[in-house]
Amino acid sequence: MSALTVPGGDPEALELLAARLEVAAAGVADLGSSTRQVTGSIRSGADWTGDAADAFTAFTGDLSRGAVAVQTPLSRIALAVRDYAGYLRAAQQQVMAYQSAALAAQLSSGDTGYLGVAQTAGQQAESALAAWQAAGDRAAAEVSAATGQLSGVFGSQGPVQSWLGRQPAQWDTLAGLPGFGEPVGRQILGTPPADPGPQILKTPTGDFGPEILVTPTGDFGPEILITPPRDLGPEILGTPPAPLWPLINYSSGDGGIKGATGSIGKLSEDFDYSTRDIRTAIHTIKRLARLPGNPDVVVDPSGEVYPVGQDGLAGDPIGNILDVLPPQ
Amino acid sequence: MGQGFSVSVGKLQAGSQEISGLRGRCLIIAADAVDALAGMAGSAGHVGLVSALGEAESQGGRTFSALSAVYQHVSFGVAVSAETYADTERGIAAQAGTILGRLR
Repeated sequence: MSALTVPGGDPEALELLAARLEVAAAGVADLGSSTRQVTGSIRSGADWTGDAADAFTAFTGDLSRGAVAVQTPLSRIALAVRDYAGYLRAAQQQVMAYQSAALAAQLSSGDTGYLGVAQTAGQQAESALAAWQAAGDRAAAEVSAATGQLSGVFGSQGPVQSWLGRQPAQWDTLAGLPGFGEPVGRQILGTPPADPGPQILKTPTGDFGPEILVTPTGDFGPEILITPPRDLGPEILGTPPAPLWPLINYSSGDGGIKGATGSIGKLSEDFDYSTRDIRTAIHTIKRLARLPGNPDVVVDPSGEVYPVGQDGLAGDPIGNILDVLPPQ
Repeated sequence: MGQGFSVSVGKLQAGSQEISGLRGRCLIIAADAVDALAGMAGSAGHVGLVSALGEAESQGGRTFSALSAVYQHVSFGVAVSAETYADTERGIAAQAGTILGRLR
């Protein structure tokens, strides 16, 4: 009698998880459709036309397609795992049947009937184990192929891929999702250390987070800013609607950020914009970030804006002035 | 609505919130998907499959994180756009007031 080991794994759990992954796959496809609808209705509802509106449509169309494209690899993984679970269950049952038959044969002190049953069970178990192993190899190949698909949902070109490629920091860590390179299960959607967990899923009003504020100039965001339809001339556009300066505090130090400054004059020189433009950009960033207490800010050489705490140290960046400065 | 403007700032502002809502949905789906992949890796019992599922979990996390970041970027872009249109509109109104004052 050969010693066969029951393969590890939990086929019931795999089937349940496959069903859950199917639901997620359907959900992301639906999300992609909703994205197309919502962004289309934003543009039409706002009577938004012109280059900026076209850029918005191109970008969000790409986003919609990317979201929809996530469905296929997730479904593929779910199907492969469900199929594998069947082989795993069969192999476990056959090996356990064999072990029972082998024990009965042993206890029967050489009864040929029991021995024959055990031998047959052994052959069936070996066959089931081979089928399970092959199914596992097939499923692994299928999952790997699907993983490759998952990595290319935005294609190699297109505005979204282009934007992602230009981000100075990894978007997955910036998005408040720690674990780039090695995301760990539930932790991938965990919250930054200082945040209470579930709130990450709420998307609070006006919370744009630090990650979104890293858009380099030239992306669709700034383009939106520059093209009011029926442009009435720079002298009008350049007029701030209200005095902004009382709303903004500037830090005298660097907040511990290398090269950062709170000096509007220096920023004006460094970025080659008027002090008014710099002030307006910082004001916009601060308003969108909705920081409590109107803290001081410093801006680093790449344009990132940091609130400065009472201890004089800069916090997480709240935006980048290059995202909101008009093109030169 | 300011002179010469046809863009509805309010609609853009509301649109930014709608896109934030889509991002929220994205995060919930992401949690389910990545959790499921992680659970599969822990329940597979086959060395090659466990490894492949682990990679799928990592890639799934990256893909959903990218999606989430893009939604946030769009939401922010629309909010900033609305803000800019609103500021411009106010600037136009102020300018018009100045011109009308001079004409009196």
